[in-house]
Amino acid sequence: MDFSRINLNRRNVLKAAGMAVAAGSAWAETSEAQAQPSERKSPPLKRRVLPWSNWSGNQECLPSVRQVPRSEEQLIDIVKNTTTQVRFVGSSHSFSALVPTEGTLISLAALRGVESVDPQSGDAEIWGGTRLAQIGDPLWEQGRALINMPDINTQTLAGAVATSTHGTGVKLGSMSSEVSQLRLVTAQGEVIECSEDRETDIFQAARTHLGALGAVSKIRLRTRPRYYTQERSWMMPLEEGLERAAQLRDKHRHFDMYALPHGDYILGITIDEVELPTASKVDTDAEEHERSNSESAFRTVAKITDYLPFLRSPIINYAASRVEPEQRVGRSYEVFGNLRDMRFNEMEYSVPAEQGPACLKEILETIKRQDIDVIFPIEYRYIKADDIWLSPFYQQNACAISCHNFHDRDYKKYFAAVEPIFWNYGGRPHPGKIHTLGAAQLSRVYPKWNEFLAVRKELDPTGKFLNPFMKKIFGLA
Amino acid sequence: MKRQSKRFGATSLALSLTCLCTGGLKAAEDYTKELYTLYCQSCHSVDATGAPQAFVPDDWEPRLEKGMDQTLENVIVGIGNMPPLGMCMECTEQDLQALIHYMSNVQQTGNPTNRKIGK
Repeated sequence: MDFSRINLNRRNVLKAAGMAVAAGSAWAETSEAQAQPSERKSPPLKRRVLPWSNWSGNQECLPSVRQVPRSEEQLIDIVKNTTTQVRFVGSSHSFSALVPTEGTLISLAALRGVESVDPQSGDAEIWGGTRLAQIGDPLWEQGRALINMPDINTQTLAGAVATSTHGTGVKLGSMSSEVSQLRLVTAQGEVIECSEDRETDIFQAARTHLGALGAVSKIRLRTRPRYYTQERSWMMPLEEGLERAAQLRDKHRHFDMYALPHGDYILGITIDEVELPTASKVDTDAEEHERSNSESAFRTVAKITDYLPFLRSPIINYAASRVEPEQRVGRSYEVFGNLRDMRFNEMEYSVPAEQGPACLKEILETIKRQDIDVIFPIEYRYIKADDIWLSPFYQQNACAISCHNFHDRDYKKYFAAVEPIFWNYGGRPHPGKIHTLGAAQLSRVYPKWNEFLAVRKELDPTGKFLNPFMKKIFGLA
Repeated sequence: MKRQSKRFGATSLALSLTCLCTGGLKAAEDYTKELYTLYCQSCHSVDATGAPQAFVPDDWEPRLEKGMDQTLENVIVGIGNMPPLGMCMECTEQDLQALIHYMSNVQQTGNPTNRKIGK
């Protein structure tokens, strides 16, 4: 979720709200500024081992040991010799309880870097702890680029692959689908190198494994010759966006939309490959300004409508109607990826691609009908089918719909209202995001669920890598 | 001769230790800079984020007035839009403290500039 792409201008928000509300906003902002220091009042922590919390703060734990191996050999030793429960942490960007443990928490952050690029195949060997933001430059220097990327690039590669992290594009799969080989350190400290030709069952399981099979120390990723992209974004009436979604999906390399809850508009975004003989860099300073302005605008709307909820739709619609079309050009990874953002919590389900517009429409109507207190844009993306067992895109071209709310606002009522809609459309939850499904429901929507469980049991018979959440979703609680 | 040899040995030992210590300090500084580039620079070098800017001591003064313990606490649990630990999953408490010192002081020659990651 990148706010800079919805250039909702704060001035327009305030104009729509009127002078009286603007005054209310000023008060609200003051109270926000005053409220933040209260977060500092947490009791002092015992710092022998640092507590862990995820990016948004909805998951936390106090592990008994934290480990940061500096080599694969150290990683093997640690995993093999640890007798307590072991969990792995990437960049803490998952919203589901994949990480929390009272045992040993292992970060692969020190195993980072693009090690090599095969001149024949173009495949890149990349350490698991490498953040996606660190991959673009070294690949570019070797004339290569990732085939696709998510819009947030702070995840580690191992974490992104473990959870089927994805961008958008009807002919493009998730990060997991671009893995051609990986090295897996199992509970016994054994290193398994698997690919489409070797240890194939483990490969199909390990390309989205939630950290349940072990530590993925190194990944071989398919790349392509480096390329430039141009992004265009424009606001359009909601009905038009829903009607044109399939056409725009098929016409462009990448297409996604941001729908505005309580609004009648939707932002369309296309990204296409372009020839660019002279590199024209993305203007990051301007981007920062836009992002800050947009975040501020959304925050202002949220504060105003806390007190005057009936103004929510008029303000959103007025501000959205004044959003100008924009475009930017740059190296592919600069246009795709964004490092900074406002913190939020998220639920994402993938539904069959053709069902996407209807599902989104029902969600937006439900938000209006139930007057749910949310203004955070809903992200709408397309992903190509793959054959990975726990992938939400297993043998299904999919549309991923992501619902968010600010990290410091309640999301439970909102997500409780929309989750049954996803179920009605045959939705599969993103494994790293918030959902309430248990083993029985998950095994119904993931056809290879039991095959995955069999591989997991074989590789980790004692359940070293299982925390309470994983025991619940695997039916082992 | 024997005394001279002893003196030479002691001097060599002292020099070696100094080199080791200096080398250790240099390695620690380099690691802090690396952590800064990886995890902190993206927000602490962009004024629009609202984060206290690296190498601008005035931005840090109000924070540090509350004490290092409180500043560390905010880093560990997160505050406002800053995520817990600044998303540095490899950082120890000592690393975080070194990063606060590094960013809250004037930039030294040879330190990384405020260029943006991945751009």
